[in-house]
Amino acid sequence: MAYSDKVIDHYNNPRNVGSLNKDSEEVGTGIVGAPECGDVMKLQIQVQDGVITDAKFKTFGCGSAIASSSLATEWLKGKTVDQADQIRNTDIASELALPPVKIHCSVLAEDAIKQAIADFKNKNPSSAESVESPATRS
Amino acid sequence: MEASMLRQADPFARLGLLRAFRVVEGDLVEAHRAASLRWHPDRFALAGEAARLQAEDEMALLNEAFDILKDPIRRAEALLTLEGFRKSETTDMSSSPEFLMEMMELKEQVAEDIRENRQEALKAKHQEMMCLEWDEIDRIKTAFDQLEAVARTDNDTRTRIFRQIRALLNQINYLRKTREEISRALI
Repeated sequence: MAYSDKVIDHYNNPRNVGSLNKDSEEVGTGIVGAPECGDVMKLQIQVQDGVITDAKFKTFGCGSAIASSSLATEWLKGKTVDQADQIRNTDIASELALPPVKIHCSVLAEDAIKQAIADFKNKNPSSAESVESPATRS
Repeated sequence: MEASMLRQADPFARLGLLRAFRVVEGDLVEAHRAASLRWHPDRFALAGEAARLQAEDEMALLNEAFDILKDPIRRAEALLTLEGFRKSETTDMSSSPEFLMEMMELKEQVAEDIRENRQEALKAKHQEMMCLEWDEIDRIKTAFDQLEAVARTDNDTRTRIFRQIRALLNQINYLRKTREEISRALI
């Protein structure tokens, strides 16, 4: 099976590999696995004032899984948490031109994003309101 | 191959065995032998093309059912699929984040050992992981034994045990895949 140029690019030059401090209040961590292929993916976001200022990932798996998470971190930076929540696996799959048998890799990335956001919101229960607060005038 | 996998709805039924994790090897061999007699190619030597092809198909499925049931992990997977706890093709909903984090760390170490070509360390890890897998298989056996003692109407308990087995099987798969990586790096 041939990988697309974009997958190969992300595979050879993965963006944002690494870790953020998972104990930080500003950091949300998502860790997901795929039992069928044995892949494990960790994706972290750093959120300041409702905006994702940094994103890191670490993936042990096939080229498509690495590329999906690498692309996800690129997309996450600069987005608000709510915008990040809108990223769908289909966006990732079409950007990387993943073949049908590799779609599940993009699903894994979407689930990792969702978990990271959930973890962040869990640590910051009031974050949902604080993002909107600038609009509220006293 | 893939087509026959799809048709293999119930390897236990195909061999006329009760759905259970504990299978006596002699019973399995005997069930396979008995079922094979029915579809043996010799019996269809003079039959028409269609009947011969069907017999061939049936034999292939019987052999596959036998292979599935003699392997404890494939047998457990077959039972879970029949009960509606099939392995997820996408995201794992059974393993805890703690376990996945452990796997992540293990895979990180293995990747480093492979990069540095630390053969001794890799061999030791391979061994260690095989032991872990055996422990998991033992846990799966125990869980199926517990299941036997639960009334078929007690759905909550059955579901809880099936979920537990699902998680154990998933864990074995992560270990196996990592072990395969190590095997490829061993000289």
